[in-house]
Formats: sequence, C-alpha cells, structure tokens
Amino acid sequence: MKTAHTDEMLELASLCALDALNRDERATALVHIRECSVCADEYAAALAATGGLAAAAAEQPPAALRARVLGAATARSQTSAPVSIFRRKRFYAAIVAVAAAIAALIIFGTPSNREQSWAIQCLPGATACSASGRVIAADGVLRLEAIGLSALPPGKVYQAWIIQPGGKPVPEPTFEADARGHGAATLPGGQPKGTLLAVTVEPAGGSKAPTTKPFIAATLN
Amino acid sequence: MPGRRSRSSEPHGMAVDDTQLVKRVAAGEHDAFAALYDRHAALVYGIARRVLDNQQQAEDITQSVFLQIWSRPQMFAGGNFAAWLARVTRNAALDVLRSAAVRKREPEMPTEMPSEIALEDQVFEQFRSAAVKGAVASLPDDQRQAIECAYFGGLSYREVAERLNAPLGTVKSRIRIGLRRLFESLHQAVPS
Repeated sequence: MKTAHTDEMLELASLCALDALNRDERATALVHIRECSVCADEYAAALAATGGLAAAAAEQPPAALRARVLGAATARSQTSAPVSIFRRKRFYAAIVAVAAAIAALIIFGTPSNREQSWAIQCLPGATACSASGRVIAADGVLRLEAIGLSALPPGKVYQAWIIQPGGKPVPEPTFEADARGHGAATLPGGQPKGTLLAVTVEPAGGSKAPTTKPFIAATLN
Repeated sequence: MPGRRSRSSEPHGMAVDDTQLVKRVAAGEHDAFAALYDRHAALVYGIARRVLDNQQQAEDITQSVFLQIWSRPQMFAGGNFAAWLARVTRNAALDVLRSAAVRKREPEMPTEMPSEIALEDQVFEQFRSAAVKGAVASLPDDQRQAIECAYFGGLSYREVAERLNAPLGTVKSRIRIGLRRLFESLHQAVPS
C-alpha cells in the first residue's frame, strides 16, 4: 500500500538525502520516495545540494601527502578479497608473514631534526580494521598514536608489542581508546631497523604473550 | 524531474574519466591511481578536515581512503565517482569522530548510488570553483548551520535541534528550505 504524500514526508525526503535520519525513518523515507514523484524530486534536489556541501569543503592537502599516499600504494599489493592468513597460520607463523607484508608496505618518514615517524597500517586479514595512525620516535622513546580504534568490551584492552627482527613479541603497555577512538602508548626507543610494532586486543591487565592476532602494525625502517 | 538526466546521455566530464581510471587502477596501473589522487585529494582531504577539524587526522583519513581504493577498486560499483568518494570519506571521518560507538569496520564503501542527478555530477566536476563555495556561503546562517551540523557533524536532525537548542520542526524546516535553496543556487552557479 502506498504511503500518502504529506509535508512531513517531504521533509523526511530532504533529511534522508542529508543522512540526518535514524534507521527506521530512513527506511520509511526511502520506501515513500520510490512511490512519490514529488518527494523523489525533493530527495534528488537535496542530494545534489548535499553534493555541493561536500564539494565546497574541498581543500588542497599538504604536498607531502601525495608522495606518502602514492608510495604506500606502490608498496601495497592489491587484493580482490581480504587475505585470510590469520585463519591459516598460527600466531607466530602469521606474525612472520605479517612482518614481511608490513615490511613491504611503504613507511613514510617525516624528516625532522627532532623526530621520525612511521605509518600504522591495518594488517592483511584484519578485515574489520579501520584504524590508522603513527609511531613517532622522539626524545629517545617511541610514541604510538592510533586513531579509528573501536571501543572494546569490558575486560579488554589494547596492548602494544615490539617484535625485533627474528625475535618474539615483547609485551609493552596496554592502552584504551578514548571517546574519539584515539589511543596512545609510549614504548622504549632505540629499536633496530626492521622492528615491528604491533597491537592486539588482550584481557585487562595485559598479557605476557599475545592471545589474539595483531590487527595494526608499523615497521620501523 | 529537475536536474535529472539519463546517465547514458552523459559521456562527458569527470564521471566517465573517473570510471576509466578506476578500471585502470583495478588493473594495477599506478599512473591511474596518481591521476585519481590528483583529481580528488582536495575533496577527500577537505571533507575529512571539515569533519575532524584536525589536519593530521585528515591526512590519515585521506591516505586510508585512497589506499582502500587502490587495494579494492572493485568496491566502486559505478555512478559518479566523486560523489561516491565524498560519501566514503564522510563515513570514514565520522567513524573516527564517533568511535565511542562500536563500529568495527573498514571505511564504508557504499555501493548504493542515489538516483541519477546531473547537477550532482556537475557540482563535483566544478568543486574547485568559487561558485560552488559561494552558493553554500550564500545560505542564511541558520539554515547553513543546521545543514552543516548534520552533514559534517554526522548528527541526526534531532541531535541538530538539541545542539542548536531549536525546536525540532524549526530545524527540519531550516534543513529542507536550506537544501532547496542551495540546490537552486547551484543550478545557477554551475554551468550545465
């Protein structure tokens, strides 16, 4: 049965285009938009206007970002589907493969008299990962700064690990994500080239050895 | 329908070229990826910066979004690439903004494209033009504020009403009238 056209539906159509409705309202609006040409017009116009909003926000990024992004792509393999190496290998075998994969990723440096930084990347196989960030070497320590971290269930924390070339994971501080999904930890500096810095989810208080697979990491090249 | 045009009649402009570039990216062509970056980095970075109000995070989002395109170009299912990219970027930036909520996923790559809207294509083609920025800037403050709160803040209209301490009906009306006004301004500002 068709839903009747009303002024409220017209408003919902507009709000739908702006993505300002909850799930139920959006579903209602989309059903009606398919049936009502007036509201379909309103939706189309609002969608175009929303495009204008986005387009008007355009701003040139720093020039250095281009090299960083293109370099990262050069070193990153293309996948038609997430690589599921974690499903096939045990942790230590996986971490070796991951280390190799990460070593192949482009790691950007920030030339500076004071500090150097490396990109934190989601690992192959970490299909639900949307985190990123940096590891910054400054003043003799490594500062891990991650964004896009998910809130963890009670009793779980994030834990950093340092894995030197050929070595086993060494437990480093645990940390939590704040309300914005930011998390940070300070680790010992002076790590040899090729050291992998990884993050896992562990029980509160941390673990002596990883109990889950790492989902983000950076290689200190 | 105002502003609507058959997509089959638009073999011009960036939409077609972008689609070709994405196909070349899928074939592993770095030059095509660089061309997409050069064409759209400002859009991606600008949206992320506007949502997050943080340069470093905006750079990280820009990198993340473009690397997703490089790694999984097949996620773009067609339509206007810039419009799709804008939505991907907004979703990724809002994920960071709302990360208190449990949303374990990669930046969303929407495959559902809206109805075919010629003006939207033209707007994205012209996004560097002062005319588009001018059209947005010309909105009355109360309308622009409500619209931008929802779009860049990721707020529902109810949350916008709370944020602006305005009645729900007023906010809904401001948004609808503002978007309609912006659509008409863009129609005049963007040459067809």
